[in-house]
Amino acid sequence: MHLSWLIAENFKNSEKLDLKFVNKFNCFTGKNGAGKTNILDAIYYLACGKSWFNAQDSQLIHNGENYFSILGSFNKDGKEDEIRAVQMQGRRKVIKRNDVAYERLIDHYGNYPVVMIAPGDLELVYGISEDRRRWMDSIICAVEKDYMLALIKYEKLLQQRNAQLKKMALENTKNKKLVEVYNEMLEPVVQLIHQQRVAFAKEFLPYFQKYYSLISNRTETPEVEYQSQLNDAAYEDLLQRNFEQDFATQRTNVGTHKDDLEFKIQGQALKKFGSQGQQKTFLFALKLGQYSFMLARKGTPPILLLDDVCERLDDERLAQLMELLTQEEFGQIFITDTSKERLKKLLPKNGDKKFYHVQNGMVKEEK
Amino acid sequence: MEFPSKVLEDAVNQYAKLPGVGKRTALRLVLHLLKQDEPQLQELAASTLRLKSHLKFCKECFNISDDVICEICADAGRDETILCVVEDLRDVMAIENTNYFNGRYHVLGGLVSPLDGIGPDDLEVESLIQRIENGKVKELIFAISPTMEGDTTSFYISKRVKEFPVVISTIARGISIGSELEYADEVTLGRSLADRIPFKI
Repeated sequence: MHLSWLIAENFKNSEKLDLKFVNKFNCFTGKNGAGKTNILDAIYYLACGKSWFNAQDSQLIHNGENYFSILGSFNKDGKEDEIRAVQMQGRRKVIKRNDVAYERLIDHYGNYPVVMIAPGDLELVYGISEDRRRWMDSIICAVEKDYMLALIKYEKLLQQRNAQLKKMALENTKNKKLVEVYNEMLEPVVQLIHQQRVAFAKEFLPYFQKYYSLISNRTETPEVEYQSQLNDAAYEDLLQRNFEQDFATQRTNVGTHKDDLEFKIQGQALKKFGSQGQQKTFLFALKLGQYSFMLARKGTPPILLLDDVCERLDDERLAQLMELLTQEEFGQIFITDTSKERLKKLLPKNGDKKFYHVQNGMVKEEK
Repeated sequence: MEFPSKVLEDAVNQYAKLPGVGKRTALRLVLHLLKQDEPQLQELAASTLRLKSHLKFCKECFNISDDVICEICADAGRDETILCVVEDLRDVMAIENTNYFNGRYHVLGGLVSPLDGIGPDDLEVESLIQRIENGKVKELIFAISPTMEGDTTSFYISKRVKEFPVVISTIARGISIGSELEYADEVTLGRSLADRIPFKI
């Protein structure tokens, strides 16, 4: 799959973007703050229906305007799909596919797979467990619709259960009947989420390990371990055992909202014992593993967005990465960098590529 | 919004409290009322007040009624062994309009949603248990919206009445009559397939 062209109006710092892309390397160069990342975010938005930065949609509108729109055409197996995303100030956003609006926005997510590699990825190593769950969920949601619906339902049920625990504390009653109702309603939802995460972790690991060894050229074994209270206890028992604690803390202390992914190298925690180089390699391997996983499940190569990668890898690893990306498994790629010369040297001499110069939110195609 | 009159502002603020009415709409309503003659306004005020002073909730089913017992509960021709459990008056009116139901109702007065501060004790659940305990009820039909709050409410009641010999059923969920299949959402369509029924003409 690839993005053929994109027209954006009033998206973040650019008033107008009108770009035609090539099927392999599309390179955006320019100074910091010129708006390179915003172009990647516009592509991400079109593919996923939301910003990569978890920003509120109204905040993405260019200063002083009252709407933004992004229009673009994805080519999937030779068929062009025109996607239009429009956010007007104070209105609900609308996403249309070939001029027909989606009834539910979640129906858009996952149809046009995309993987972003950006400086913010460091959060996966240093951030809280929620960052890692969100990353894992973003992948599984793209390949399993039931999973996304289950997550939404889980979130709502959990909020109701917690509200009931608060209400019980307030009214000083230990009448568990309604909490038990929520327990039983949560059970099948939690099972589905847990099973899907177990399956994902298992399927994902070999893809990830392959890329780790390719980038690092070393024999050490990295691991991504899915941790969940449900791995070795039944949900029902967990809830039973923790009721007193739930009652005291007025919230639910067990469930898949406590899950995490543990990153290890040779059995040691990456966050504590990994060198900076190991951590970076780990992150790239995670993202490229995500790429391969989605390629296998979606049957079409996702679009790869690389934000500022040259700054973050040493020359040797960078050369290794670029070598990888020229292989056929990888389809269309969008790269940003501050230095055009560096990027030119890194990319293969011959081959499908195009350079764009970015300045103050304006983009010029270079000949 | 700046008002030239305090009286006007008070009236607008009162109307703006109504569901679905914003300040602009409230102002439009109030300006319209200003043009009415006094007797009409008297009647509007009086009918509003009568809502509190004269309306009652039926002692049996808790539907809104002019009498202690509502017309449906007072009707000896209606089957008292079947109770249709609904959220509020609107559901009673909708089901009555179908002419398909000859049993009686039980109006809960809302759905369980702790997030909104509504627990089972804030609804007419105990009174429903009472009616079942009295022994005449043989079947409960849940006619409750298939939302999470609706499902929670049905689930809770079903747990509470487990010890009694009553049949519990729920209205069918699926494709609406006269609509085209391709427009049904996946969840509804999937559920309709899973819960398919024997074909009959």
